Amino acid sequence: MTEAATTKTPAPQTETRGVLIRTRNLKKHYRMGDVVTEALRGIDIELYRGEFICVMGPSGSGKSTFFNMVGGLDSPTSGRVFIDEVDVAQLNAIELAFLRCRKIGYIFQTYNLVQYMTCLENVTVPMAFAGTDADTARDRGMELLGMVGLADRWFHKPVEMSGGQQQRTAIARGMANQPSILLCDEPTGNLDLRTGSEIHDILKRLNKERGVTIICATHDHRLINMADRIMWVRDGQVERIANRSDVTVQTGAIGGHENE
Amino acid sequence: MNALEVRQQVRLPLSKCVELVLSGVKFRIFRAAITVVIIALAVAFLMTILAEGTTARAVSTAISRQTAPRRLFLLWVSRLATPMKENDLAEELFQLDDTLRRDRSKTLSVEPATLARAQRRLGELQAWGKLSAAEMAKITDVARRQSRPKTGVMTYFDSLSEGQLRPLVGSARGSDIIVALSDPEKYKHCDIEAKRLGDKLPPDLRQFVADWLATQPLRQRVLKGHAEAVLRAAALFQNVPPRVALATAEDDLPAKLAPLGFAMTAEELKTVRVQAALARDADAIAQTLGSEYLKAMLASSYGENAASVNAQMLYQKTAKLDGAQWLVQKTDAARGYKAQNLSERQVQDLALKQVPLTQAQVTEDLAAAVVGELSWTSLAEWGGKMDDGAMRRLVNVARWQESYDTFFNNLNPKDRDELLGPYDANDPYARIEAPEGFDRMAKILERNKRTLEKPLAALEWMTQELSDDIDKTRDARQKAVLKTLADRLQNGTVSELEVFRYFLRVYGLTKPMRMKIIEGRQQALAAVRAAMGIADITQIRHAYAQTMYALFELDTMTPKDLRADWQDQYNLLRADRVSLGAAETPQTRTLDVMIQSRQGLLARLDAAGPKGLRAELQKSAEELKAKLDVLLAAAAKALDSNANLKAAVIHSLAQSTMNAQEIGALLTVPLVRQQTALRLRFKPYERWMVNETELYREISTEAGAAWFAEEMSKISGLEPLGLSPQRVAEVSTDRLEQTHLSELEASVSQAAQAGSDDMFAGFSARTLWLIIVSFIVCIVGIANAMLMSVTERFREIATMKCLGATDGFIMVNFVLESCLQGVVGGLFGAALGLLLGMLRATGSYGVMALQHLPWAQMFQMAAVSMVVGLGISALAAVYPAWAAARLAPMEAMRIE
Repeated sequence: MTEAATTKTPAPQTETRGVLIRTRNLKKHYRMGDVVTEALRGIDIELYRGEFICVMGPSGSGKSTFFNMVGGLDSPTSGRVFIDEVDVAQLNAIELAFLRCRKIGYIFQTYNLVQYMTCLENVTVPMAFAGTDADTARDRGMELLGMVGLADRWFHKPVEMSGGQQQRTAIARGMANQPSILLCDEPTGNLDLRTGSEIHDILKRLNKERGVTIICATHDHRLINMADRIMWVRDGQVERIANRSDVTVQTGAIGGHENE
Repeated sequence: MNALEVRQQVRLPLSKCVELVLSGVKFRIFRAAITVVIIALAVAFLMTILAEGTTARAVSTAISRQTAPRRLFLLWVSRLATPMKENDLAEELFQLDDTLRRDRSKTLSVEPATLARAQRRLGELQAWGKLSAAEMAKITDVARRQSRPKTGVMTYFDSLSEGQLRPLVGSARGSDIIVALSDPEKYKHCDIEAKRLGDKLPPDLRQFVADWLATQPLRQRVLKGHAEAVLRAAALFQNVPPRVALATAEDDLPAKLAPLGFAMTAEELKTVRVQAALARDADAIAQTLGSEYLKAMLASSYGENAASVNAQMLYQKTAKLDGAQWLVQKTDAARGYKAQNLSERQVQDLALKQVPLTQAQVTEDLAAAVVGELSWTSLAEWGGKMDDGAMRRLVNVARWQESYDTFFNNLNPKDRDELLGPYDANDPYARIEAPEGFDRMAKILERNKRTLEKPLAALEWMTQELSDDIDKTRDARQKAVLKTLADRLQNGTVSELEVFRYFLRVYGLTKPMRMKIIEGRQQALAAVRAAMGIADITQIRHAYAQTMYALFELDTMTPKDLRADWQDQYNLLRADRVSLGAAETPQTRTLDVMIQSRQGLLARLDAAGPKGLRAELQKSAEELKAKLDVLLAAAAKALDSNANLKAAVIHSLAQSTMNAQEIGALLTVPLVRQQTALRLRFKPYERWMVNETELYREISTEAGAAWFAEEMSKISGLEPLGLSPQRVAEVSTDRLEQTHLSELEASVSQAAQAGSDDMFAGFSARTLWLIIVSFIVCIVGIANAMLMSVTERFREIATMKCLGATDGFIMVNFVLESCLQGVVGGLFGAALGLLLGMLRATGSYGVMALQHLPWAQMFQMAAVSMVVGLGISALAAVYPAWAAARLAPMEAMRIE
């Protein structure tokens, strides 16, 4: 634990960027009856504005719990999460909802589109929650759909679309309220290579053009390839953080880390 | 980039929520439909009960409004006719007092008319008892303590069963209980027994008994006053029962009743009079069932036997105008017989005048004839204007013969036939006029040691006759025989047999004169008939009777049976005709006419059907009746004005002919016709041939007249109603309606009792329990459906929360969804319940329910049901919605 806390964080590529998310000794315990599972055992990490970071780790490593903490979906048992210097643990449920609505966009492995809504309606749902008026929401929704290349399919229901199209819609939805963070949970996990690369391109573009901070849990090495930094989580602790340039990405396996 | 500034998340406007919910519901329409159905069923259940109760109350009110006039009438009848009992007085006082109290309390409205009636009634009672206001208050107070619900003394004792009551107060019942309890010993006993039952006597019982006894004289004064008033009312109505008298009451009746203490208003009189007239006419209609004939016809038209026919069935038939016409027609048919009210003997006499005389009858008439009287003159007239001498001789022979007739008639028929040969009313002594017949008779008499009577009264006249005879006789031998007889008569040695032998001689000699009388009467009758046109009358009446009989058959047989029966009759007539051969006789002519008429009827039945044929027959019956009336009027006129009929002798015959026509008319009553045919041993298919002549012949004998009188007594219940068919229909309809209403009242009373003390919000405890259970089931069902919906939408909910949905939004979302289903379900349920309630109410109360459907209340009830449906669906959604709202947003990350 202490070792992990003192793990040296490699400097970001761009020093000028400010810290967007910072965690301090972040711990999360789950209690199942008498058994206490320590999902996170103290994570100290700083994520910078505008960076593209991939989080890796085997199943049960605490990767998802970390994600939830960072995404304002769950509150830590102890320790703190600061998003834009705001302590998430201090927020009440409604403030959390506000945070999730405007500051963070979520991309899920299973897309999680609302089945009974059209493409455009799905995109405008977060805007409705943010109180945007219907006309603005529609215009911005169409613009976002244009960005992900689905402007001509706005009236389709999720079931009428391919996985790639659904995920693109999900990205447009995630961007609905121009969040500073895009939290992606295995965004290409359910997609084949070709469609996956469409998603990569969009994410890359968002990161580069709009300066959106992308936190991405993935095993897709092409996505890892695009990242600025890569973070490994194991047994509820950050095992290692490396700049992309320090890591060799090989087809089939990722070098360096495995070698340890 | 802006620094993060965390604020409160905005609340979504409700319209947006509804929009989202709607699209969600649309997506899961099937599940939503099931939930809607659950809600709809629960709401429908509630609504059905509400609608039924409401309808029942409305029907009950309508019934009580519609039966009010009749109840008022019955009330007045009982007030005017029956002295009150003490218990009834107490009960009524309590009710009246209760009405006044309710009015004073203002919370329960009392109709002004009801209030006024109660006040009038209290006034009546007070006046009869000559009570002061304070005394009135006293007995009212006691009555209230006696009869009020739950705590009343009588209410307490009434609530006990017979077995419980017996040990307490023995055999005393009603106000006797109170009298018994005034004995301290009995009171103590009663108290102990009540405690043993685990019961307690009413707390103020002892005081009550004392008060009751103290006020008894006051009540007795009222009762006595009323009893006197009833007597005076009876005198006022001249002892006609009020029930009848009220029907014809004059407008000044209230004024006449006022001094007696009865406070009847002019308006009440109007109602009561109408009701009394209805009751009177209804009774008249019901009384026609006293006639076997009508009963038989009614029974067969309902396919029942005559014993089970009742007034209700009759009303059912006569409530329709054609049924009413039928009844009026049938009762009018009996008018002739009833109008004359003839005795058996008179019937026989009338009939005798219409059939040819026999010698026996002529003899009888002659024996009874007195010089100068009509019968004497008539016989002389018909005998060819015989002089008194000839008449006297005939009369003497007749009287002489009567004594022998008596002798022979007193023998038993076997002996008499042995002596005289088979009896022939036209010529009883024909067989013994010949010498060999006489000798045989003499021998038999001698063998049996019987002697003939020697009619002493005749002997003197015989001497006279004998001497005339000797003078006239040319035959010497005969003359000698006669002389010997005269000598023996002279010295008294003549034997009975010799006298009889001589009587037979005179009988033979005078026979042509009697035959002349018979023939003369026959000619006179023919002349009279011709002058009065009786032949035509008979012919048309015959046709009329046949038509009526066909109508009767139409009334009493099913069309199929009728067709078969008529075909049978036709076939039998044809068979008869063939058996008679080709030669034309009067009999074959009649048969031919019959066959033709049957054939015509059959053809018309096939062409027009039973209904059409009935209409045709009705029409032709009416035409024939009209023709008949004209002919009868002409005959009556001829009787009065025809010069040829003026002579006393002829006029008497004509008069009797005219009267006999009334009897003949009875053959148009089908049942009489049928019975006559049976009596005359006609074959069933020959009923058509029965005509007046045959009837007269039959009833001109004593036995026939007796049979006829008995037959007529069967239709004697048939009196002309004296009501128009419209009135009959109106009265019958009213009676049916009243019966229907009183039946309904019984079934509706329970449902309409809502609002009484042991009910809650108009429901009985049982119904309320059912409703609550149904709603609990419904809530569980909806909650289950909503929970399933929540489980199914875990990911969606979590995603929504990731996207910025607040817990409140999720909660509202689900409650709204449920409410939406509640509204739709409530709407359908209310509509369904309304329909079912109406159907059920219609099933129980018939058309009344639809006529008096309380629409405003129904819609109010529907609104209540819908709100209840909405409420339970909102309630049922609370837990699932809460569970959904509590869901952590990170569930969105989970991959199934």
